[in-house]
Amino acid sequence: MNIPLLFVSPAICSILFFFIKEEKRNLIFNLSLLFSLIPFLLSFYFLKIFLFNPLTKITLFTCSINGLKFAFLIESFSFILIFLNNLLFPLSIYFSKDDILFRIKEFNIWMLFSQSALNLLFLSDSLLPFFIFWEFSIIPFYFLIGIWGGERKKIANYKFVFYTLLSGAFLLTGIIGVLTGFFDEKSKIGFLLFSLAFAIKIPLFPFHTWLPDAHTEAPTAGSVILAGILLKMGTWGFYKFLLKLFPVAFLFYKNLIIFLSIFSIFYGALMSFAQEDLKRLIAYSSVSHMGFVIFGLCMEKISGIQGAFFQMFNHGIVTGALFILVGILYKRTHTRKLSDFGGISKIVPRFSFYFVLFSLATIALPGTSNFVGEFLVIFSGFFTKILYGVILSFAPFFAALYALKAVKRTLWGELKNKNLLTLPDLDLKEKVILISLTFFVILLGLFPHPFLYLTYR
Amino acid sequence: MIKALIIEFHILFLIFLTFLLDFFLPEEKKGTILGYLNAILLLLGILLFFYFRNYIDTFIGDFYLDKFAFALKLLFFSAAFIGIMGSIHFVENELHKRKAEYYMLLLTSVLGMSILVSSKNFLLFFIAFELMSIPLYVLSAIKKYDRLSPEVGLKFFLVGAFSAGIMFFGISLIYGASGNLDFIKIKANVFDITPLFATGFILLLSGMGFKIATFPFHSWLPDTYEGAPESFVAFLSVAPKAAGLGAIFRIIFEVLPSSRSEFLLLIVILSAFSMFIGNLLALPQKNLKRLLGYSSIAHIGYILVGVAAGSEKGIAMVVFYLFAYMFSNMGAFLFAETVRNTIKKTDIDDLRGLAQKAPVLSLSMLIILLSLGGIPPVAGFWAKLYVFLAGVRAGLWYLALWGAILSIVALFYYLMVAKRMYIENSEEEFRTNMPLGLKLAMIICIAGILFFGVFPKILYNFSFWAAGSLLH
Amino acid sequence: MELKSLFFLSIFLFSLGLYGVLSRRNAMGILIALELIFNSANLNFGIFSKIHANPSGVMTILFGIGITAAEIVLGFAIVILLFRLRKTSNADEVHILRG
Repeated sequence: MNIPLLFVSPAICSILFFFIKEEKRNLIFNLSLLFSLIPFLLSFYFLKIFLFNPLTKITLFTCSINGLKFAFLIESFSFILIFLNNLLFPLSIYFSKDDILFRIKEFNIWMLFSQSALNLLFLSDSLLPFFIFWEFSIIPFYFLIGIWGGERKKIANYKFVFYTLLSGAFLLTGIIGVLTGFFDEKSKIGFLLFSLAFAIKIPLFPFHTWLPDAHTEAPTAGSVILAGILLKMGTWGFYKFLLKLFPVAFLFYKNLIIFLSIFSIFYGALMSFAQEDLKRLIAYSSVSHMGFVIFGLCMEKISGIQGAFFQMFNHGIVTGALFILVGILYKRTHTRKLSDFGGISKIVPRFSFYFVLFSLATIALPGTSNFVGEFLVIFSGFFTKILYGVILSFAPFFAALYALKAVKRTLWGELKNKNLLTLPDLDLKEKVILISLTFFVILLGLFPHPFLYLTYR
Repeated sequence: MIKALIIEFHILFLIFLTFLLDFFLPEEKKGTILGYLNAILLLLGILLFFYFRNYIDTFIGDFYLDKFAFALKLLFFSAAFIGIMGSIHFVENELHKRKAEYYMLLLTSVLGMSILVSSKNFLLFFIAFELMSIPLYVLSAIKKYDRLSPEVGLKFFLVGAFSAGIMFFGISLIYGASGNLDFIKIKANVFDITPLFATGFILLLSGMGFKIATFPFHSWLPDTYEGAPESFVAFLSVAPKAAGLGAIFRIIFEVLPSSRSEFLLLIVILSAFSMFIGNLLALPQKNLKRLLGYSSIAHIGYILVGVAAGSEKGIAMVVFYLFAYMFSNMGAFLFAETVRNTIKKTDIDDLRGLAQKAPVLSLSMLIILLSLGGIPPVAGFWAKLYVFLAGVRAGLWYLALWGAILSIVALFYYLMVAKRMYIENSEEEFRTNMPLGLKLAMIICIAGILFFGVFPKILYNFSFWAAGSLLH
Repeated sequence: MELKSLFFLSIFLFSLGLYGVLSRRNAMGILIALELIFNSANLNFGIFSKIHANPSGVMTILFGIGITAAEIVLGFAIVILLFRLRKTSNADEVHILRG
């Protein structure tokens, strides 16, 4: 994962697109798939290094411009998110092959640019490059939602841009304060600025209102990346910068954040249960899952942090898979309303199998990777305060509410909608995508050791 | 030493050359030939700045060529160069019988700016100020028989003359309080600020405020920008403001006694309100030029953060901002000129679906908008970051937060323009009509934005070098 | 007469000019009010030059008169242009541009 390579590959691809006609859909998608796979293959090289010694830190690039430090560094924690990023991007580009029907060149350029920006964001070891890629990641998604989004894309886009820019403004002020030495580790203003920025992005309970709209209206590939990667920008910033810059101020606000994260878990689950739109239901479940992540990070126990990172990875895989499944349904029926479905399990058995599998993974059924993650987080909760552990133990039940509702209303029951009789089952491309995601869910569910080894300190 | 005037001689030479050639050149080719000639000679002048560097820190009378003035003169030359390149086709096709005058007036204004930032005497200061302003009034109304032109000219003139009057009165009060017109002697004689001196100074600042269009002296600006010729507005939106800011720096740091915190507080207030008013009023605009006009009021607000910092870093960052702002804002107005040149209107709604019809033009505008909005990694981002850094170093973190929050509003309307181009569709035809000069000017702007976005260090070091001379 | 009272005269002139600029509707009226402002400043320079026994004030008056003349002449030119095109010289009757 050479830094220049990350910059250069989307640029080369865009230049290549310049010579290709818009009509050659296959060529364009295959090219961009190839270019997005390059960093994925490169990340196996790092996997080998980190499995050999998880404490390795590899500095990729450092320089200082006028006293402002620019450092890019890869360690095992950032590696996990980079791996996830480079896994989800090729899959969603692959999925978009017959999902995105117009202006495909632009679509692929934006996707490749956001992949590199996000890679660089997770690699940043100093505040300024982090902020640069934080802001830069808005631009591709502004266009992804705006051009290829659903019916209510206008309002969704406004909300997304407004909230993200707001978080950028808080982050910028906080970063400037830190860089000038104005905010030290005790500074409450600095802590609040940073945590507001991250809480909007994660999102924590009162700041989450942008999320359901943006996730619902984005094209499937966009939703996968929004949920899978963009939310992790917030949690990554929380872990990487907030906890390390303001350890003293953090202690002061710790209980508030824990409260908000617990509230998000249950609020997100209940809101999700109340939805009638399948995509919106999944979008709200993200709020719930991200609550777990923040809770784990706040515990300051190694099992909490391990669990939080495990959950970040799982959430990316499982929610991504669910969005893809909904995308598959939407592509065929052009509806996402729960009331339009029902009883399709006999018509599309393979689809139903994956849908049930990933829904059970959301509930954290033992055997899926989510179970390990949530278990670790709850475990760390019990160690800190029994009360936390007891409260969190109820979370899977709430998750079961919405996940089983989705499964029941789509797959089971009577077949009311006669149009669904001719619903085609998964094709090869969709199978490939879903099998590769299933691979991670089951593998890490039964055999979490490499992951735990990577994150153990 | 007469050598201190070498840059001014260069401009004077250009003016006289244009004046002489005006008699000999055929009418139908005059605009193009004089335009390219002036552009090339200005470019030569910019290259000669490497040679002019040897004359830094020379002076004649109250005219000083210090590093700060030198840097700003470089900026005026670049702005004039881009401005003239971008207006060649306009002069040739739309001005009749006044082609040479356009260039002469523009260069005269540059001469005025150039003297203004070097003068250390209020008499010279005022003369230079008027030398800068009067040609601008004429230029704004240069499309003599256009429907809007007299209105624009009158509004701009009345506000400008009024501000000059207030400034002149303010100078007379400062003279009354200190008994001198010389900056150095005033600073040596005045130890505490008397009410007379303070009144004079505030009147002087208000006069300058009109020129740089800060709140509450901004109301002339959107009208002028909307009505005046676009390629001239590109120049107007950058160079006179830079000159005004240079002058403000000089009077704050070289006239005011060291206890100047009250005046800096005044500037903090002006800055906060300019950002607020400019950004909020830009939101509902339908016309691209009006939108850019309001956004430039907001940009003055950001620049004033650097002024309010009152430190060497603050000055340096303002110089940095001015250069970044020059490339982005001139680029934006050149884009407006291209649109007007093609479809005769500049409403934002006319940009619908531009990305499909003119991809390269839209991409350039997208880069310009990102730079104006301060999104990394283009020059505008560094400018905003550095100005806020300077502000926070001086303890103005609340102003930086205010600015950062308001820049969301700014990004919001910049992205609205981008949305028209990229997301919405329209069937109307758009055949880009971009003459060579305009194209070259646009390329220079984009190159500047990208170059200083990737290598901010060069400009940063240059700005610091320039700022050092103002505070001893 | 005392020089100080002359100073009050100049302030009076300035205020008159300020009032005129802000309240006059006719462009010619505004130009005349502008002249008042410039002249009050010129008067000030004369007074303070005498008080401080410094000749630069008197010099400034000479330049000031010249500059004012140039400025106001340009103003007249624009007003005449406006009158030719629109048949009016009232400043608030020209409002094609909003604001």
